[in-house]
Formats: sequence, C-alpha cells, structure tokens
Amino acid sequence: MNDFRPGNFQGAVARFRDAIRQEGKRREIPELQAILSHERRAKALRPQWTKVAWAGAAVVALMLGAIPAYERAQERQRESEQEKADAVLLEQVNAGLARSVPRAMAPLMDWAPGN
Amino acid sequence: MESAAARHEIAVSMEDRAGRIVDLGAADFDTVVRLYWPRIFRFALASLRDRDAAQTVAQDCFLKAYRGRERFRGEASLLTWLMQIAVNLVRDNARNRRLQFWRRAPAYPVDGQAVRNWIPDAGIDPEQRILVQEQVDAVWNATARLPERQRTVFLLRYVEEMELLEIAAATGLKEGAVKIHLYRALRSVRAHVGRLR
Repeated sequence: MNDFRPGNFQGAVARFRDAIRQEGKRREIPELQAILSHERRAKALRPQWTKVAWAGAAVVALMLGAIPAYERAQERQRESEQEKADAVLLEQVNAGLARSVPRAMAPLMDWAPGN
Repeated sequence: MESAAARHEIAVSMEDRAGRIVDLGAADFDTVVRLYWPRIFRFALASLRDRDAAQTVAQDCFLKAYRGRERFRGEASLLTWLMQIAVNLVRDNARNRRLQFWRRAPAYPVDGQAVRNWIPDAGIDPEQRILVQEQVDAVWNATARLPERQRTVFLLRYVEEMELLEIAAATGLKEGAVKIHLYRALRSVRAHVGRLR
C-alpha cells in the first residue's frame, strides 16, 4: 500500500479508490425529508408537459379533421359553379338550335320577299 | 462520528431487518440514506464526472428506492439493490446527455486536477504526494476513456469492492459478462497507467 513507485498498478488503483472515497465522505448527506421536498419542488417547477402534449394532440386532431371538411366544401362549391355554367351553356345551345336560319344570315332574310 | 465497525454493524442489522420485515419506514430509510449516500454519490460522481449530475442521481436513487421500498424483498443486499437503481440512473443520465447535444458540457465537471485534491492526507511526503497525484490522475483519465459498461464494472469492483455476483446483480449482466468487461477495463487502465513509467 505504501509502495509509491510509478509502475505499481495495484497501488495506483488503491490510491484512486481512496481518493474517490475521500470525496464521497466530504459531501454532506441530506435527510430523507430534504430529498422528498426537493422532489416536490422539482415537480412544481417542472412544466406541465402532459398538458402541453394533450393540447398539441388536440390541435393536430382538429387540423386533421378540418382539412378533409375544407376540401369537401371546396369540391361542393366547384360542382355548384360547374352546374351553373352547364345550365347557361345549355340555354345558349338550345337558343342556337331553335333559330330557323344562322345568326349571320338573319339580316338577309329581312330582305327576302314575304318578310 | 460513527466508527467504521459501528457503521458496518448498523448496515448489517439494517439489511437484516430489511430482509425480514421488508417494510422500511421513513425513519429506517433515513438510516439507509445516511449509510449508503456516500457510496451511491461517489459511484455516480466517478461515472458521470459532474458533481451536479452525481447529486441528482444520488437523490433520484434514494427517492426511487423509498418509493419502491415495498418491492425490496431482501433477495439481494440493500447495497446491491440501491446500486442497481444507481447504475440504471447513471446510464439514463449519460444517454440523455448524449441526446441533449446542447447540454453536453457538464454543469460542474470534475477533471484530473480536481481529483488530485481528493487524495487523503495520510502523512506522505511532498515527493510521494506528487507521484500519488500522477497515479490517481492517470487512473481517473483511464476510466474516462472506458466504455460505459466497462467503467461501471471497474468502479463497482475496485472502488466499491463488490463481489462479481453482486456486480452482476447490480448491472443485470451475467457473471461471465462481468468478468469480460472487467478484464477489458483492467487491460485498458493498466495500459494507460503503465505509460507513467
């Protein structure tokens, strides 16, 4: 144990052990109550991660639910506009088909005998 | 100040009681903290090299032990049970520190220079003291380079002087694995310390 030669490995490990143990002894040992109260303080200071996590999950769920609803509304609006456009076109087609002569010849027809 | 023999006697009777009645009350547990705090703290300190982290690990260890004291059945010794909790906490702490890259620097780091001041003043002359400081510094630095398991096994064997089976119980390793880790750790530390010659 008192062999301080540099090459003495077992001695070096023993002195390392003594040094670590010495430091362990120097530290103040807390009472159990102090440990328990430290935990309570730490808990009080700790952010409410579970609440934050739940709020985040709720936001994500809302967004996930809102996106398809928004897409459905957009789709319905597009369909309604398309239907209106189709109706207008159909009216125009019907009006075109109902003419006796093409629109371009209508002025000439005014000069025709009998008109 | 209790003598080592008295402390040992208290520890033995404590473990004996704990083994038999299992139900460790708060008063009994205060004795457990007084008896084992230095060992748990120094193991955490030598493992993590950060006073603040070691203090937290030691506190968490006794807190967990207190909360889970009903689970202690006395199959292993009280120290082995506490050390098992401490080993897990040290591992978690090291893992968390690796993941938290912004907190890699320890709050209160302990380097070889600080360890030199821990050497007990056992009436050695200044020349010998310098040699001892170099040796302690070398072993401290060598253990810092060891992989986590090897360091744990080395510290439990050579600082805490635990038996191989106790180390196996505390670390959750098989006895053979403990031997292998210890052999590798010794080889590395010996090689590092050998360079002092």
